[in-house]
Amino acid sequence: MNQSSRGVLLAVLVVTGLIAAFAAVTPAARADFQPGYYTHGSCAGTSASRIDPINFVYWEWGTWDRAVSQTQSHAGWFDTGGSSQYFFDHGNCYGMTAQRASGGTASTRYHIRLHPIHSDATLGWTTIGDAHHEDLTYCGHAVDANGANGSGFDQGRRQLRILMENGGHGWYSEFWGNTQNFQQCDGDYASSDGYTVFSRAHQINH
Amino acid sequence: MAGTGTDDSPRSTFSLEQARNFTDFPLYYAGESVGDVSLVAVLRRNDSANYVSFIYGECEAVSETGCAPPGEVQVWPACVRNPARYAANRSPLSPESQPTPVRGVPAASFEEGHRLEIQTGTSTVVVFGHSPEFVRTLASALRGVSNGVTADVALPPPAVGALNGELACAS
Repeated sequence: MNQSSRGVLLAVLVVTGLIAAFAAVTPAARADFQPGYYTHGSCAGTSASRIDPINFVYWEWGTWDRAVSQTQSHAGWFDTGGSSQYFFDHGNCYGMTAQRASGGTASTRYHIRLHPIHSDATLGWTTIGDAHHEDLTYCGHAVDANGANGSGFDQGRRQLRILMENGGHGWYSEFWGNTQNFQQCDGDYASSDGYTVFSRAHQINH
Repeated sequence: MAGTGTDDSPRSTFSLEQARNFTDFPLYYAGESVGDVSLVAVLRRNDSANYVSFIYGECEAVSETGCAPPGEVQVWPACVRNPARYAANRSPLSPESQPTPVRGVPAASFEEGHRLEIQTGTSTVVVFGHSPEFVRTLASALRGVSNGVTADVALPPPAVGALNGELACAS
């Protein structure tokens, strides 16, 4: 084998080894329980129809009615106004089940849309949501742009997490990497920082 | 390329010139246009997220309804974003990925090909697109913003520790 062939073989072996090492730290697929990682404006379910990143999960006793009740109770988000969006779950499209906000559609506010996922042995009952803070601008509601305090997606998730925690709901977070930027109606961009909070819902509403 | 702040044109928070002078971690982008899709904004986040992002194409956002641009190349330091971050997740909701080599380096395909995460040197290049085909087109067009990597060559291999999360961030 000449020197050039040895060099090519070495390069192939190195790349193959790197790919194997990459696969070793990559988690196994769970295609049976994959939610969409963004809300959508329609059931087209394309990247073009994405609107908000999913960043909040109510789990254990996270049925949608408990998610609503406990969000109202601890966060004080009672308003039900806002546009409709869609969630994907196991490849199926669903209209949102509920939404709650800290103020009406004519105000700067915190807001979340909710969709229930079926029960699982690990998480129990779960409901997922897209918590965010949105400013009332000249063009209507725009999620706060990326900035020193994070984006409006991060601010909404943080606010809800803190208020739920103050109400006795333990939490942890995972990195989901759904950090795609979304252009808002005022021209600014907002992205999640990629974290999703898991807030433990209680069986008894309080 | 940037909006002025008084209209709804795409609004950059960073410039291409700033990106060319950026030294925190190597940056890559897909050039000033990919086919008929132009680079319209450059963004910088350095808070709970740390990236420089290159936005390709515009979309129609309205009240309460933002929109995903046709393409985005988002570059993170590999010490912050790497495959080990996902390996640490334990919930069944955590995103799944498929390993797939891109330009001779390890990469992971998420969301049925709508997101690629490419490990190269001390950077993680995250590519989003309206279609898996456009994601691959953006990945093929990647070139260094201020290094000598061109679009038609293999990307530099990942730095030691970049895959398993042991790469330390430069202080």
